[in-house]
Amino acid sequence: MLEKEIIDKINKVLKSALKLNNNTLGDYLIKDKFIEWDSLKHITIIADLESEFDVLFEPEEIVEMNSSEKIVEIIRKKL
Amino acid sequence: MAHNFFIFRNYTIEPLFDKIEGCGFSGYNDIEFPADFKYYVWFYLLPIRVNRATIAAEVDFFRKKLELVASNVTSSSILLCFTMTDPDPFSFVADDPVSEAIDTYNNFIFELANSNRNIKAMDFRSFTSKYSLRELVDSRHFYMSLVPINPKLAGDFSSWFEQKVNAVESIRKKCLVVDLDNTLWGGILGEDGITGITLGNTYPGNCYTDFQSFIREIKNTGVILAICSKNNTADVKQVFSNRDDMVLQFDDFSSTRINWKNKAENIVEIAQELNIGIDSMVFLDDSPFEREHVKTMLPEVVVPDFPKQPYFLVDFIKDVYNNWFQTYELTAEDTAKTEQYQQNTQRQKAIAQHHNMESFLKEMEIKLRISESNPVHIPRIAQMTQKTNQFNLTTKRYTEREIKNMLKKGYIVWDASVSDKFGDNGITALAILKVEGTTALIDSFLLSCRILGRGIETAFLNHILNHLFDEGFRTIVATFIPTEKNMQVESFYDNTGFNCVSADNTRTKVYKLELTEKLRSSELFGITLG
Repeated sequence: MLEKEIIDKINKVLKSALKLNNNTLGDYLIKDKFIEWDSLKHITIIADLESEFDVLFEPEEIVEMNSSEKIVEIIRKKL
Repeated sequence: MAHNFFIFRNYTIEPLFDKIEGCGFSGYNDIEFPADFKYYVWFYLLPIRVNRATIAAEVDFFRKKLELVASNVTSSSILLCFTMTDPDPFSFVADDPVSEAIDTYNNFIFELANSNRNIKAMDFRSFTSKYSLRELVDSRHFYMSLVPINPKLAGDFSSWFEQKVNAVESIRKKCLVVDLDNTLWGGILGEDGITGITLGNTYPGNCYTDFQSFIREIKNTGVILAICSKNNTADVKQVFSNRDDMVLQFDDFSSTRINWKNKAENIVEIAQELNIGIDSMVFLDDSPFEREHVKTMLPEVVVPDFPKQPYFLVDFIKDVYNNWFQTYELTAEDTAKTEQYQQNTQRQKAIAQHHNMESFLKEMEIKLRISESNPVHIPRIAQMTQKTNQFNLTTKRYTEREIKNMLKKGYIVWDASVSDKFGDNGITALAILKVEGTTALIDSFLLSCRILGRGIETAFLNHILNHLFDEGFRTIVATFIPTEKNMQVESFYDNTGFNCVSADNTRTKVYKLELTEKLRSSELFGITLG
């Protein structure tokens, strides 16, 4: 999968989970910048990403995945 | 769904409800009943523990809590009670106490639902039975975040939940209109003849037989049946009278249109004859052409896609029932019972509000083990400052190193392990104080949300204040710093006897309390020092 495709898919998941307006954001989202992205929403995001990419994350990875940049890095290793 | 749901729960289930709008959640195991929700949802999951006897005891205890919650239900609100399931009936002994506890618990829910029209049973098995244990429970999320039901099921769950709520709302269709050829039986009557159409005990006839049996059960719940088919009436009547493998009988149908006219026109006539709206009809037909025609001409009629394979017919008709014909309507006898029940609950409520919460807490046998500046606890203490958002008065985040330094500088750190008769929650309450002369300043005060709603915060605070009083402290200074998430503790110090001495435009508030005597310590909790 191309880097761009991965990022687009990730952002699609994040924006839908966080109910964000598509146009207002760049390519990289950071957990700390969104009040909606709390520890509960994180669980939903992880589940959505796992379904989208058909992968499973380890707890250590789940804790690290706090920005779209980190998410790309971890997902790329699994594809 | 524009409804407001307030969910009583014992586990982290927010991810499961992520796709459902307008949900509020109780504290864990908290049964305080907030006003102004249309729907209250009782959703207690089987405790995930090893010891089966403890689980069974806890389930029994849930039943008592539910009884209390149920007594708060008014005629303008609805309580939806999830039944309990055991996704993993793993037991070390043959005689498993949990299964009996679950049966008693579920029977209690069904009895509640039968005797109060504002209480409805939600059979959770109808959701969980579609999944294997591994699909239903993701151990990672359980051990990481106490999320017992796999968050990946959130989408499926919201559809299931919506169906159940619609059923409660009785958004129910009145009439099921069916085609005949390749719908009630296999084959085409006009071509295959009365003996040629397939029904009976072997494939594919057995699919149609079961399909008919299911439709007959739907009729028995009060749904009107009608036939709309392009056939000769005489032939059709012969099928009903001559084929003894027909489950449905001709007089099961309240209205029939067996002719060669177009189906939309026939459906309108059926509606007129039965004196129902066409928006209360569901039409089943195997022909995509006929379905499309009816959908286009009569958009108010529900026309579900029909399965191509006969072996999907029963799954299909179950979905049809779940989507459009589920009901919670009650009989006259139930209604009479409901009135009795409501009188009883009003009586009980007057008593309940004063005593029950307290007696419940006593029954829980809650114990606080309070430690002062225990170096072994530092990692957990630092972790709590990092993770706790809701019940956190100042939301100051500290690392382990910072906590160590603070202890060196003379700060006092109190933590409390909270246990009840079902188990130990570990260190879940924390206070950090800075002391100067006879003044103590509360730098941090926080509780894990796992133990909220039991009055533990006040007992913990009072214990600390009494201890300080004994040590000669006379003035306590405290601060509330608002964040997006801690509004529930905005008035904590106001409610515990502190006086607000200043507030700035960021809504940060500073409080003072002069200690003149020891406070009465709580009788609800056993407090030990350790």
